[in-house]
Amino acid sequence: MAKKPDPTAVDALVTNALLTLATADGPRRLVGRGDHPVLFAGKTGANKEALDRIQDAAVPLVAVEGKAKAESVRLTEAGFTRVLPHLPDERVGPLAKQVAAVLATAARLAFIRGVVSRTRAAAPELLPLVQETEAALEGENTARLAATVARRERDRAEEAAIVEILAALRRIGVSRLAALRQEYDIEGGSAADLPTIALHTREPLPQKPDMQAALLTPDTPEEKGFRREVIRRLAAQWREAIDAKRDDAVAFMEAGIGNVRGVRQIGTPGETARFDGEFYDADEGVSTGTPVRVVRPGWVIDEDDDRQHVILKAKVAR
Amino acid sequence: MAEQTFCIDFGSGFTKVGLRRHPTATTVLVNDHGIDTTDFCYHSVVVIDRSGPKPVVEYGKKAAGRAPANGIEIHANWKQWLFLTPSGDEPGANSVEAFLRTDELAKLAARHGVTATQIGHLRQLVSSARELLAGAGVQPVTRDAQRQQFAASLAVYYFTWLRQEVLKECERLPHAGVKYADIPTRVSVPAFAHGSNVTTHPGCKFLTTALVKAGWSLHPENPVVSEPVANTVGVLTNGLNATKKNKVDLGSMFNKGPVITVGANAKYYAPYRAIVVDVGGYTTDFAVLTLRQDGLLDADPERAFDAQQHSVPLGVSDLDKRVLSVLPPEKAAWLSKRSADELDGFRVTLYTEGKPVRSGVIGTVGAPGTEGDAVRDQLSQFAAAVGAEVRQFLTAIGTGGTNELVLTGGGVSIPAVRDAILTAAAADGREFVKIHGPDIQKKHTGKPVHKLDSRIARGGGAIGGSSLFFEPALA
Repeated sequence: MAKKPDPTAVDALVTNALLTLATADGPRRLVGRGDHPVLFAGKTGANKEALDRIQDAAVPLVAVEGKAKAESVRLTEAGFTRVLPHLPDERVGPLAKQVAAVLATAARLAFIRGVVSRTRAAAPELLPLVQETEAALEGENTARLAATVARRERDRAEEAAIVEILAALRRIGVSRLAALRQEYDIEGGSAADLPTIALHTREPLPQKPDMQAALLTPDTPEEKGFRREVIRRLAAQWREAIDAKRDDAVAFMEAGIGNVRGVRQIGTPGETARFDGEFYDADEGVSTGTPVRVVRPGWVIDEDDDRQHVILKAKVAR
Repeated sequence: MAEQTFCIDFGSGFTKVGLRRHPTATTVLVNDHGIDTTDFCYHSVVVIDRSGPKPVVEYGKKAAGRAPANGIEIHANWKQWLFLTPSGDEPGANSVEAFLRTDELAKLAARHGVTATQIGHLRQLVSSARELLAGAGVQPVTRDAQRQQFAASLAVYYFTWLRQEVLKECERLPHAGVKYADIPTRVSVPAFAHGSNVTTHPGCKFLTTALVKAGWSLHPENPVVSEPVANTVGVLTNGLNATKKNKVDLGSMFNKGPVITVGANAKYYAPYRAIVVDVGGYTTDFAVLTLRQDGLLDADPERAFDAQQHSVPLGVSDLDKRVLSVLPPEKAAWLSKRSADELDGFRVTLYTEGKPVRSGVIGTVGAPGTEGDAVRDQLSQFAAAVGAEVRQFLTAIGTGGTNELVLTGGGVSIPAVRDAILTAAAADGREFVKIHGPDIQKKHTGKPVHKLDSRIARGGGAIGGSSLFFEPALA
């Protein structure tokens, strides 16, 4: 029966191999013939034990790169941690940089934080890597944000198209019904005798969270009337707050009114505009098209079919 | 007969346009989206800007609320000028001539020994000078005649613009078999032109001439209808049009109401009357339409009813003044600076709902207590004044008849006013078989009621004027 190698000797072999790898000027291979110098002289006895430990499947201390004669190894994060106590400070930075370069972003930052907290001298070496990582993260965030915006826009376009399609189908239904009634009259019947068909009756749409935007858009005359009435009342109070120079109240109310779907502000204070009596109000007589200065903005609701409903004209002066 | 008809209800403040798209289509108001009445009410105000090299005329929302200035004229109530009756010699048109006719001058002349004959010669001198300045052979033009001519010219511009707006809006309506540009139109005119005058009255002629010049084609048989008749037909039919065996089905259109019952068997019933009370912003208008014995059979629908009308200068603006007078000065000042929209909201809250109005700057207006009591007092007094006018007007028409009461105008939405009208109308034992009005319930009247929606209450004239009722070929 073969004698079991001394564990201390195996530990020493592992540490020596890792230290050699960490301080080497060029690539190293584990064992056998190849282009690069070896870390272990053979594969038997204590060397075998050390090789098994260094290539442990659960926590490998090195990672193999290249194939056949060109094969070489590099330290893993676990290997680096293992050899770190034996390294001179000036070697920590360059080695940590190599190890960190192949780690995923989150793991890389955690690794660098650990190294720097232990060896301050490594910080200058690792700073460029952290800056690169930071820039990469910003890029990733921007890209993710853009992807989210694009996805939401696609969703909104789909929702709007669904609403438009339903509205168009309703209009087609109404138009078809009117034509049929007219045809019925022409044929000698009386459309007044025909039953009324409620075209607006329909099953409610499935309410998924991303349909909320569509549901917030007033659809029925009652909903549109309610929006006009509410904005009219709020705008009246907003105007009062402006007259009373209550800037805080003005800002809060303005935010509230402006955030309502479909509501748009007419002009901004100090802005120059061309007078149009539909949107602007002046205490003095002003000709259409005359340049005027906006003294107090107004509010308009963009309703469907390109209709606009002016809630409060903007106050202007020459 | 016209298969389709527009009806223009040309009002002093707002103009409404009704449309019947085919003989039995329910009449609709152009630009009515069912949201609020401001959509289908076209402003009648016209702005003429003469400050540039060429005059610019503006209408509708662009003209509403504009301020006058040097060269910018605002014509807000020019409809009345069309219906003026200018006399051949109107001394009041010239201030010097007016002065020469005053009692004060006569007294002063007597004191200084100037005789009446001398004053007469002076008048002739001034009159001759006026004629001389006007040009040889030119008839001197009175101020009223000038205004009338101006309004007639303005009407052409206004109705041209209105036509563009109406046709633009019609583009959004179903087009199956309908050419909107070819649809003839009818126009409603004030009640004094009712009956045979409806086409011969000079004001009506100015109006129809302007419509033709503006591109509208007039209805071939009945281009003009009087306002109270159109309004009553609109209210009683709710805009419904129906035919039966190629004849107008009045029974269906009037929902087999009292006018049909009486009209079909006139000799068995007391005369039918529709009494219309319209409490507007500045006036309260009354009209009584009495169905003639064979009215529904008359070839001229305009002659189906005898009409009486009366108008008193008492409206919701008077109520506003009364309320302002009892409010603390700072609140009255605040209120008088509100926009028209804000005032409408104020009236709904305080007068109709009976709630105090809240303001972030001045607190509440009409809060319970002394102020609220004072406001309620003014409301009661105004309502009583309207009620008194109703009673006085109705006294003249007696108590008999099969009567329907129609309440329209913004003022009748105020519960105190509505109740005062109902009480006054029922005084002297007068009975109504049905009452029509906005915000009205059977519990208010104890009689059958027809709750008018806002489009009928405000656009009844335009809706009724487009009715099949006015198509004599189908009668």
